[in-house]
Amino acid sequence: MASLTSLALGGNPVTVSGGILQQGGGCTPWMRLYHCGDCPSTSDCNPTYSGGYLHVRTPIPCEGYTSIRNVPLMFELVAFHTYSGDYTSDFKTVINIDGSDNLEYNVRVNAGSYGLSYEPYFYKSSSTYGGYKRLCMSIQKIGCCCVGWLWMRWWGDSAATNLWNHYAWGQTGAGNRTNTYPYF
Amino acid sequence: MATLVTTSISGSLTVSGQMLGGTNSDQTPWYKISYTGSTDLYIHVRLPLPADTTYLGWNPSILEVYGFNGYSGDKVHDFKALLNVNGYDNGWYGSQIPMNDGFNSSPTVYRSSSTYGGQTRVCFSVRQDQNSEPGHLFIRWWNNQGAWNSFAWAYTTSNSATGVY
Repeated sequence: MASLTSLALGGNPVTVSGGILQQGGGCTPWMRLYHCGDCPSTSDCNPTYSGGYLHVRTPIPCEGYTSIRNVPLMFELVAFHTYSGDYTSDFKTVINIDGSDNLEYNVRVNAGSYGLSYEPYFYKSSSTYGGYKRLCMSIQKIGCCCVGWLWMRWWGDSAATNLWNHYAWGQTGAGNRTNTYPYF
Repeated sequence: MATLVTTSISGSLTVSGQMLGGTNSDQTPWYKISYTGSTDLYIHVRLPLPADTTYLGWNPSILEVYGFNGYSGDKVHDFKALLNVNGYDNGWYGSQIPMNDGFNSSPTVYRSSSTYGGQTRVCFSVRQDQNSEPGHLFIRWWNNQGAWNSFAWAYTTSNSATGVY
């Protein structure tokens, strides 16, 4: 790994194929996911494409991981679904894992979502991934496998932003907004 | 061209040009247009992004625009538009603006009538201050960053909200 004290780059453009993460805190790079999660089971969505929600599992551990307790972060979501953007999302949510590992969240900024009946829903995964339950989220999707993308990142202390690569992201289509099936 | 695999910088990173985020997020850098308001109602911007199936065919982008005009922010712009082109017949479906938090902004997104470099281009207009005061527009799009240097940018003013390019 190259380690530089400072770096000045010219040219137009400079291309970064990965992401840029500020170790001192601030915000993470964007994570982009293709917005086409089909329901994994017809018992949840019949027909398979009919699920009206997309569930995303983030890398953020939220149970038994002491470093994230009471380190609030602001989670940002920008997304669209379908070719004409029938659903679009532009939200900022403040998330906190309290000292007892309870998940608290409040969607504080809706910068102009379109077509949605619900704001994003956040929950802790039922299963563990890499030894921890992970922060998950659901948003509405059109009941089809149409094109769409989500961009997500979060802002906060380094204890929060350094979790960027803590575990793999995951996503699935779903019939329910909550994790009652459960999906993760 | 130097290619670094994993690089840690303990100080600051300075980029004198612009930075493409690569496949990770597929967002273009911001492009800045600085101008002075004129007597016309609208400022129009022509993007390098082709408004045809080259990039946008069944592959939508988000166009994002920030900006202001006037010493007291007489016009402030903050919108995201969904750009799309019908992959079968090249039809334009790019005028949706689902997110608009601007102030006296009145954005309009359209496809150029003329071709530039052999292709129609994505264009938009917003209201401008009419008192010869400074203004800036910051523009980028999400998805299809490969079109970033596809053609030259341009801007002009008009009393019409659309159809200038």
